[in-house]
This record gives sequence, C-alpha cells and structure tokens, in this order.
Amino acid sequence: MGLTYRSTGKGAANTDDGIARMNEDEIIIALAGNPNVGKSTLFNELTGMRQHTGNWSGKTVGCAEGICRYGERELRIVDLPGTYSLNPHSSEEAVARDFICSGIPDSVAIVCDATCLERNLILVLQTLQITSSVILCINLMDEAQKKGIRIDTERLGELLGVPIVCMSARSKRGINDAARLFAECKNIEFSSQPRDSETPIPKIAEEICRECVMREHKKRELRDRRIDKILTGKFTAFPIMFIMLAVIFWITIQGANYPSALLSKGLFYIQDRLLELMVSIGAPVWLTELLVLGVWRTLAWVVAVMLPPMAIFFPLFTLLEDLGYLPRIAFNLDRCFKKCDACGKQALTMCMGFGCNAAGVVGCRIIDSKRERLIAMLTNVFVPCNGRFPTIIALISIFFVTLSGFWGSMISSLILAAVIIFGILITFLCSKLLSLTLLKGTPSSFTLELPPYRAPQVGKVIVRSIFDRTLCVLGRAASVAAPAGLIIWLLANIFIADKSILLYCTDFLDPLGRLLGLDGVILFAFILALPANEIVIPIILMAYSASGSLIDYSGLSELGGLLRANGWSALTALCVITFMLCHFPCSTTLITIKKESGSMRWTLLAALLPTAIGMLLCFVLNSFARIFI
Amino acid sequence: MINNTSLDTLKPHQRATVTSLLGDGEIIQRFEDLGIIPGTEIVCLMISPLGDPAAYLIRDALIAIRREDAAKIGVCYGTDV
Repeated sequence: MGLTYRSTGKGAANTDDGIARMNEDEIIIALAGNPNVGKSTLFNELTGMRQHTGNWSGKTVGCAEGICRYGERELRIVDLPGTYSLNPHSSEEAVARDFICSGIPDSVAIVCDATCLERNLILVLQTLQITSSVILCINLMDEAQKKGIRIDTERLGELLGVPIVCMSARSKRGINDAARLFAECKNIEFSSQPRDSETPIPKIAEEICRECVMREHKKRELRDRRIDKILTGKFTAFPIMFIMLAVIFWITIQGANYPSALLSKGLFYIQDRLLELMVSIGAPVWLTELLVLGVWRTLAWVVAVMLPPMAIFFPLFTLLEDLGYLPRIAFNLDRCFKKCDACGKQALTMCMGFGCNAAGVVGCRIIDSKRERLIAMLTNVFVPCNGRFPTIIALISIFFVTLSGFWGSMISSLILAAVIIFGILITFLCSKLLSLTLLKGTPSSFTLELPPYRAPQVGKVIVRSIFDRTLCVLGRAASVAAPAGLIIWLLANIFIADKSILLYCTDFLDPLGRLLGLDGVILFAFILALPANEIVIPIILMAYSASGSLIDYSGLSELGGLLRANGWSALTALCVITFMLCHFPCSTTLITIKKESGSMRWTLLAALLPTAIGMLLCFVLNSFARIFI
Repeated sequence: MINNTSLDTLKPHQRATVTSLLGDGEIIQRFEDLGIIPGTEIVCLMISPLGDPAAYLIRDALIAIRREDAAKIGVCYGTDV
C-alpha cells in the first residue's frame, strides 16, 4: 500500500471497507497470490490506479479496489494482500482468505511468480479446493527468462484445468490478455478435477512442476548470491548499511540546498507582493498581517524547507525498496530484534516509518504476533518521519556544521545518520523494556522472504514518488500549516492586559522548558504542532518574531541568527533534536494507533512513552552540560 | 553421509532433505505453506552477519528462518553445493 494519500492521511487504517456486488452484470475479480509476486503492479496496470508497489513481502496491507474496463465490460478488481496459503496466520492473510471463501468474486485470479512457480502452486491448489473458477496469471515471465526458466504453460493448464495467462506486469506485457480472460470469466469452462486428498499439496505442486518447468542455467541466481554476499556479509553488511544511510542523506541535504533557497526566495517575493496588494486594496492592517504574516508565511516556510528534502529522499528510498534491499536490512538486524524479544519484520515497519509513522504503524500488520505488533507500533515513532527530519537537517546545518559545500553536507549527513542510529538504539531499548514489563512474552516464530534483486525502474520511481508521495504528504502538512499559522498569529496578537495569550502560554511552560534545555516557546510549538510535526519551526519563528525581533526568513543563516538572538546555543539545538526524535507522535499517527490497536490505553502509552523518554534524555543532557561546561 | 539432524545445523552451501517436522505450532503450519514437507530439498545459502537467522533456498524462494525455528525441521544431509 505504501505512502499514498489514503495511507498517510487520517484514512490510514481504513482499508477494510466492505466489498459487495453492485449489480448482476458486474464482474468481480479477486487478485490473490503469494506476497511480492506483483499483484499490485498488475492491479495498477489494469485499473490505472496508483497503489504503491515495492520489492518486499507485505507491501500491500488491506484490500484495494478498482475498476477496469474491457470493451463494454466493467470489471471490479480487488487487490488482496499476499498470502502463502489459505490458513491465515496474520490479520491481512485472513482478509484474503475470507474474501476468496465469501463467494463474492466471480473468479479468483491467482498471480504467480514464474521464478518460483512450485511454491506458488501450493496456493493455487488450495484455492482450487474451494472454487474451480480460478485464472492463473504467471507474472515475471521476463525475469524467469533471464534466469533460464521455461514454463510449458499448455501442459500446466491441462494439468490444473485452469486458463493461464503469461505476463510481465512491470513492462506491461500480457495485461490485455489478462483483462480479456477476466471479462470472459463467466463463460469459461473451468475443468479442474478434484484431487485425491491423500497426497500433500506441496507434493502435487512438485510433480506438476517436474513436468512443466525447465531450467537451463543459473546465471542470475549466481549474481544475486554475489550481491547477497556483500550486502549481508559478516564484515560488509553493517558498514554498507551505514554508508547507504549516510549517502542517501548526503544526496538529500546537498541536493535540497539550492532548490530550498530558490523556493524560499520565490515564496517570500510573493509574500512581499501580497503585502503590497493588501495595502493597495486598502485592507485593514490586522487582516493583512493575519493572512500574509500569519497564514502565508507559515505555509511558505513549510513548503520551502520541507519540499526539497522530501522530493529527493522519497525517490531514493523508493529505489532501495524496489531493489529488494529492505528485507536484507531486516535479515541483518533480526538478531538484535530477537534479543529484544521482538520480530525481525519490525525493521521493515521502521523503514516505512521514515516516510510516515502512520504508514509505518499500519505496516505493522505484517507482524503476526499481537505482542510483537504492539511493540512495533509503540516504538515506530523513534524513526524520524519525513515531517521531522528536514527540521533536524536544518538544525544540524545551522548549529553543528560551520563548513559549507561538499564537506559541510557530508558532515551534516553523518550527524543525521548518527541521530537515526541513536533512534534505532532507543527503539531496541524500548522494545526490550516493553517486553520485560507490559508486553511480556517470548519471541514468536516467523519466516521472512528475501526477494530476488530487481533493477528499479528509475524514471517511473521518480515520477511516482514525487507525485504520489511527496505532494500528498506535503499537501497534508500545508493544510495543517495554514490554520496553525492563523491560530498562532491570533494568539500572538490578542492581548489580555498588555501580554499576548501566546506569552501567557509560553511563560507558563518556560520553567519546564528550561529544565529540559529548551524554552517555553519550543515546548509550546511542539504541543501546537501535534497535527503535523512539520510546523514546529514555523511556530517557533512566529512566536519569536511576535516578541519583537521580526525578520523575514530567506535562508538558513538568517534562521540561525533569529534562533541565536533568542538564546539558542548548540546545547539547545541538541536538546530540540533529541526531543524531535523522542516525543509524542503526530495526531494522525495516534489516530492510526488507536484504530490498529483498538485500545485507548495503548494509544495513550504510545504518546506518553516517547515523551517521557525524550524529557528524560533532554533533562540528563542539559544537566550534564550545565555541570561540566 | 546420511545423518539425522535438524536444519539449524546446516552450514552455508550445504544441502539437506527434510525428514520430519517436529512439533505442531503455528510455525509448522507456516512451514507447510512454504512447501516444507518431508522430502523437500533445502539449501542453506547464507547466515546473517550476527549469526542468526539463516537464509534457505526452499522451492526456489529464499526464506530467512531463525535458528530455534529451523531446529524444528528434521533433515538428513545431502551433497554439498
């Protein structure tokens, strides 16, 4: 499912909307299959929709539904989460099983991976025990060809008694044939025979494959083994993970510099013109300031600082995802998760958290054990989502890096990588803490499939990740930023006995803030930014500028100047970064946790636990610094 | 050469044939879904840098299994790859 508008917004957990027949003529096709065989890719090609796809098992959680037109026919396609069998182990496998068994679909299209057909046939044979109306879509034919695998589809069709269509969904081959078969599914004679139930299904699959699948060479596999040897090697795995992380951040930081400056120049140019416009039409001063300095400036800041890093980070991350590297990360780190009595798949949900914590929480559905799923949900917030790491980047560049250019961004990215690793360590610590106290238990069993490496489709990835992910995530941030700008302006400009409401609030929070190495304004900004972490810095800026030293933001150096003028030191920045990493998740994530866990208590804990840890860390950091420096 | 042991003892590039599945938990069910039944050939391909889990080639798919779970799969060694 990934980070589409549906999966990151408030609707993140709304995936199990009921599917029922609209009218008699309609054809409903269920797309089933093992995880990571390309069901969503086929679904996208058929319906023209944009389900996010990636090269790892469990990318799709919950059902997606779309319409595909073939000639006069209208087909309703339901994309099911991947399952290895019809005996459900996890909640999303149960979703698939229940839908196939419900009798709603006219036909079940089972998508198979041509490169490991034998395993895929187990699900096909199981489905055939429930319904004979099965269409076999053998996907990844191009990859199988490269691997030297040939499939005698005619014989396979005879043996199974089902129609077969061969395809390479990524390169759009065979899509039309599939649509035609689906459209005609009510007229097809399905001829599968019931099999004797004595022979175990894997045995039958093995026998069928012995007759229908031929292998010529194993060159491709050798290539994958060689890559694995480096990416999961004893001495290379962890250095490569770190370098990969640092390089991604470096490209993000370096690449974002220029467009960020350009954007802020442009947006603040517009701000000046807006001011002039308001003056020329004779708008009252308070309205001008409210709209331009309140709403527009907050919006401009969010766009200028957030958009470039997001637009660079998302595609890079998607490339890694398509390559098939993420499951290797889980493979490398599993031992650590086991030590914390957690599930190795938690690494995958953490990777999703980089994009959006709400999506990461939904992604926890891939973890079978309820206890381990809760651990993963409660600790997901320690991975800074894209709403937070641009702020962390900005603070690092202002306070900790004096160099500019190549070395500057290099050091920034290393510091950022260190922050991320610190977050991962806290995740481990918290997971262990939870399994020792509230979520006692022993690690449960699980299996993790490591997919073959696939060359990512670079162009497609860039376009998709910018349009589907970046813009929608940014849209959400902007829709929060505008009203927040309005509210904060009002708070700063409504006076009760020569003190603004904002000042009352920040003064009240100031003692606690100071104790944590922050100040009242910062703490207040974190609280106000509950709907979206993106707006923490804009709120801080606005609060500081309201109290006198008003400047226009036009670059990081001026931002640094303003922050320093308000008493920020490197220690303050460090505490803010720490608190940024460890504090209550945004409201969207909290709502998602509530939906996924079904419990108010766990949701409350999800907010309190990271906040408590963040406060403790900041307090300790601040006290130590004050004693020793 | 033929030795009754369990899957977790396999070293990288060693091949084995499944003889039995021990126990009856959910994981055994999952193993069967993945096509692991008596007679299935399994090759250990690599071990995680931290020593656990290991990745096995099972019916052309690469599956990572933790050590204590692999111990539930009884195998006899085959020829090395």
